[in-house]
Amino acid sequence: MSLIEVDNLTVTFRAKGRDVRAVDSVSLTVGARESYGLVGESGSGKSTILRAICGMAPVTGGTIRIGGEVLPTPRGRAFSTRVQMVFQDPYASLHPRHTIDRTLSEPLAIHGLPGRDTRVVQALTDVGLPPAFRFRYPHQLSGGQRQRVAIARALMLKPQILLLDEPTSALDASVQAEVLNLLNRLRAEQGLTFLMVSHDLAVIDHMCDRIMVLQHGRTVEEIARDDLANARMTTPYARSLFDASADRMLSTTPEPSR
Amino acid sequence: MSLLEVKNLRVTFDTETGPVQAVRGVSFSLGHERLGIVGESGSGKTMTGRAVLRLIRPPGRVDADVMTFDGQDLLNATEREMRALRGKRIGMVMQDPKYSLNPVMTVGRQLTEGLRLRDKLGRADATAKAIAALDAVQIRDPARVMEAYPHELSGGMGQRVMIAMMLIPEPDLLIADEPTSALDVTVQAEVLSILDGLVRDRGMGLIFISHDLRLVARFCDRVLVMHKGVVVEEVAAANLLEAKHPYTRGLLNCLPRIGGPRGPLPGLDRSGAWATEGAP
Amino acid sequence: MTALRSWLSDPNPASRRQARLGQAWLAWQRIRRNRLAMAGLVIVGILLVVAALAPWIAPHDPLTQDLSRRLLPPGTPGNLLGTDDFGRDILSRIIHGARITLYIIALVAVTAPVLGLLIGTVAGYFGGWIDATLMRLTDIFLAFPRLILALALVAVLGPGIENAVLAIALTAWPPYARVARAETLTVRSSDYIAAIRLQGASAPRIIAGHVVPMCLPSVIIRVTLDMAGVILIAAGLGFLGLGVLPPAPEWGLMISTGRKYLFEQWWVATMPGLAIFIVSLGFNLLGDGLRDVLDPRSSSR
Repeated sequence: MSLIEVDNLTVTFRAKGRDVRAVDSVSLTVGARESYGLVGESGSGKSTILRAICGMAPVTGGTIRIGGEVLPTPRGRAFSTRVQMVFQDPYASLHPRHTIDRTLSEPLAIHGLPGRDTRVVQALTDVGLPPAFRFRYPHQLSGGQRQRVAIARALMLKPQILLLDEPTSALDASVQAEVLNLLNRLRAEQGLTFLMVSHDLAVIDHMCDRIMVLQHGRTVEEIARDDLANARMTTPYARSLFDASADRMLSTTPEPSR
Repeated sequence: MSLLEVKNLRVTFDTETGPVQAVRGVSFSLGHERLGIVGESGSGKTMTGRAVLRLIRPPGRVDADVMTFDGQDLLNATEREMRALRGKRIGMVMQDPKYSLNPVMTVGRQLTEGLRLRDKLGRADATAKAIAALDAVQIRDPARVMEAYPHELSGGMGQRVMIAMMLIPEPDLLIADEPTSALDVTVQAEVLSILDGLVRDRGMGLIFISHDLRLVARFCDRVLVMHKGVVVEEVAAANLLEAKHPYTRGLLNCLPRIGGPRGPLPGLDRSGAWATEGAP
Repeated sequence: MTALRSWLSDPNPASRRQARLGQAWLAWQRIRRNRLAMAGLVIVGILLVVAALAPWIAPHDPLTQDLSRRLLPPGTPGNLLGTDDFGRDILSRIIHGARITLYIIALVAVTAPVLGLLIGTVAGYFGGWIDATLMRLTDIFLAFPRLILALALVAVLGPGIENAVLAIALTAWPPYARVARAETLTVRSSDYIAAIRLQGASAPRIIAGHVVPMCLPSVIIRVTLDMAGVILIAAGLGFLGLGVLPPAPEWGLMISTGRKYLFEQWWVATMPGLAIFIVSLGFNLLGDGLRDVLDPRSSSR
């Protein structure tokens, strides 16, 4: 059985009396421990799907099920122990006036969980940050370190599902590699399910088993990873995206001499 | 004959804890070509671009042994002379069009303002010239865009308007700082082909600043790779993917690739002598 | 000393307390470099010391009358700033008046901003009809001239220092609510609020723990800048006989009684006026300095 089932999801924003359909009848299923990617250009609705799952977008049609159950509105506390999200901009997703310790222990305090000290230190170690960083403020960390803190925060409640909204697009290439490696390691260790959004086909290809291409809020095509690498897409739009990312193909870069 | 000649450029910021050098001795010369400057954040690539236009604000300082544009000394030019160069002979395109366009003025007014004030053109002539510029950056409905306010434009459209604005005075040199980073890949390709056409047809010089190595490799003629304010390597773009320097190699290797292996990506090894060499 | 300094500037604090003190120390370093702010801080500091030590540093009792020594000019031996129409020492009265001024300021500072912050953040966070209702209420209060509203309230409640404070506080909160709401609107849509909401936090928790800390700096700045105005309104109420009651040495009241002698014995009204002027200036300078130090927009780096 699939862990995440999105069926005919439609999200409509009202702006100046005009209805804008950001997501239009999108259906997808993600199995447990699977990694599913959403690609598309800006305005394709890929991030809105994640926000709709979190209850932060006006859903006007369709259903979202997690583990077979339809999600309640508002989402409630049980939801936050199952699904968490990592945001795009690590400079905006951490509270600037809270120490790392406060940011990480807040979820424990909300849910009345014991063992704050050990769990915060453990969480920092898990994401590869020294425990000495515990009482630093976000402005004392680099972008990559902040994103590690954001990942640690998302994992504090031990969720099954991690929603990743362009988690590395604000980071430098070398830091992106570190964060992607970290995410893959945590997925293996903690048995996580990923639903990841990116505009970078190479990142999505590296991270995900199945990929959905979106345009103007609609599904264009769902592709398995092998088919993407071998350019076996069926729609012209998916192909044009692929062609525009041609410099991200394996063949143009010689194998690193290791 | 080079258009821009820079020798030993340094940008220093006087901070509370003492002077910090953001650019430490960068030298290059530019002809009528596309020069790429790549590096990670904090490498000094943006500062290098701004220093050429002397757009570094105090407490920042710019010095260099030589900095000449078309034979004119930029270091000792008066602020008045710099203003005459900026925009007219040297244009600059910033990363985010949202912050570079005036939000309360229509695009048309912003495009024609310079023409009417500086070149003393009449309203009709200026409008015609602005529409031609929008045409040149492949905006389909220039008359409508002229009437629009910046917030009514999409990111790609705004960036093209910025480029059009910089191109109206027909500069000899364009400094483009991450001009396509905020754009979707398909729009990015369009903007690049516009810039490319300008270098080819008008013989404009282009400094293309970006963090994206693969993009620069594909688009530029020559590439400077910067790290912590120093140029660590200068290569022909065609050979960038065969670069020798461990930093450049490291940056290339840590990128994921479509159809690449699934294992951990190689990290950037910062243990080499280059990483700490001459660091402040 | 150096050990303490390195402990405070340690980039890796070992405890919550050290982290917080370290941040406070950094802010102190920044304000120390601002000369005008330091001048303001010194003035406010002197006000505090004078108020605390009033009975010991005042040369005379502020209430004891001596009709044989009426209206002596400044510089008279024993009465440095002269005496008033009842022969009371003006310097002693100003020194004791500092206590009343400080009492009014402290009471207003703990009531009005708290009320404003609460109304502003709640309105901004929830939006919709809650926002509309609270903000229209704020507008109604803002529509009245402050002094007139305070006058009306005191007229209803009766004169006296507590009622004066209450009247001032009730007229002073709307600007804080406005500031807090504006700040909340930008904070509300940020990713870190979305993140904490996703963690299952309740609205009161988000407002108190996550929104208020972001609004605090601008409200504190506003409060410091408003303190001068509060002193003036308190003085105004005292002057009109609606605030502190005679014979208490309140500065506004002192100006009021000195008015009769303004042309011949100018010092009776001028000396407390100067005190009000200096203290107001001190708070304004401090507020300007705090803006440079605390405003997240001016010191994001």
